[in-house]
Amino acid sequence: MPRHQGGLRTTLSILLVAIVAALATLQPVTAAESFKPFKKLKALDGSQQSLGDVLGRKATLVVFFFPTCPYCNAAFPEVQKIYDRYKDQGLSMVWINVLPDEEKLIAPWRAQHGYTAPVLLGNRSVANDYKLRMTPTHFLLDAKGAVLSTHAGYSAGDEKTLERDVQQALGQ
Amino acid sequence: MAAAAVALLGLRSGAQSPPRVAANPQGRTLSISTDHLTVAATLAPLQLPHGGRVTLTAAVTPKAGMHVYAPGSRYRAVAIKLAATSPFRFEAPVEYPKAGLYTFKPLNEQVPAYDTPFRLIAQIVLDTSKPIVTPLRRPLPITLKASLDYQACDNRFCYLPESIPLQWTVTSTP
Repeated sequence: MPRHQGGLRTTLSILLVAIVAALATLQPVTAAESFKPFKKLKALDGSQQSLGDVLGRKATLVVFFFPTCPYCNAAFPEVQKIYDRYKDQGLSMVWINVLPDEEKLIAPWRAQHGYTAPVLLGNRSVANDYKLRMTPTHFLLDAKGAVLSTHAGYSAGDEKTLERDVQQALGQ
Repeated sequence: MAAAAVALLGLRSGAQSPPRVAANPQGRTLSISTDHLTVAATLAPLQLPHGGRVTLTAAVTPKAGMHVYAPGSRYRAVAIKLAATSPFRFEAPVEYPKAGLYTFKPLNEQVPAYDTPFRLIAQIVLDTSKPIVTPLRRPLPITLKASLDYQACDNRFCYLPESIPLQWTVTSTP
């Protein structure tokens, strides 16, 4: 009988470990967490910037993208408008490229579309750090870097949700 | 926003099944499934006489609701690539079937894409400029490393580009 109980305990322990391991692989980025600071990333002007360097006075929108991402190209004209409207009211914004092989496309792409939001040059490991599966993925942060909301993908009208979140973050 | 959060929660990063391998005298097939598609990649023959060629056929089936881009779009097209250090080269450009036109509603544009099963076919030869090839006096096993690269999207998300590694051993004979 004790041997039987011991076997049961072992089975349950293994099961528990397996469940914990499975849950760990599915751990999402949630709105309650602090945004994991990224290591210094290169900006288009050659400077190196960390999360602390880009945090805004009141809020920061961090967007992961790459230039040939279809939904990024659909979303960014609207995201740029949000930057234009709120950058003087305490909103900071940074777009982080996740595909190094598209870095050369960024400057002409920004010029073509008139984008002025700052860009940092990331890589696939940055995408992995934030468990990104899709682009664009937006993280709206408060002044201390805590995640207020996340948003992935784009469909028409999403910019209204994003703008509302930004307004709330700015205390409007 | 809730839907997006659920999407972030429910999907694992870059999940690929381990390849299933099926061999026959004509070739060897690797079957791989990702979150976005399945591919059965066959290399045949596995014996490569001097001056001969092997054929890599990738039979790709996008999963429900997914599409991948075809050449001619301004997005990242599905492609077979050989490893940079490979002693092989493509004999001719990879053959693509005619693509359908996917309507990308957010930008109101039509993009060549595949959302139903399709095949890519690559004719591959040894690159005679590489030292491994010459001279051959006995059968020589050579590893052929390639990848199927693609970016998949559905009607709301574009997923990060993926690269599925493919590998076979080819015996080169004099």
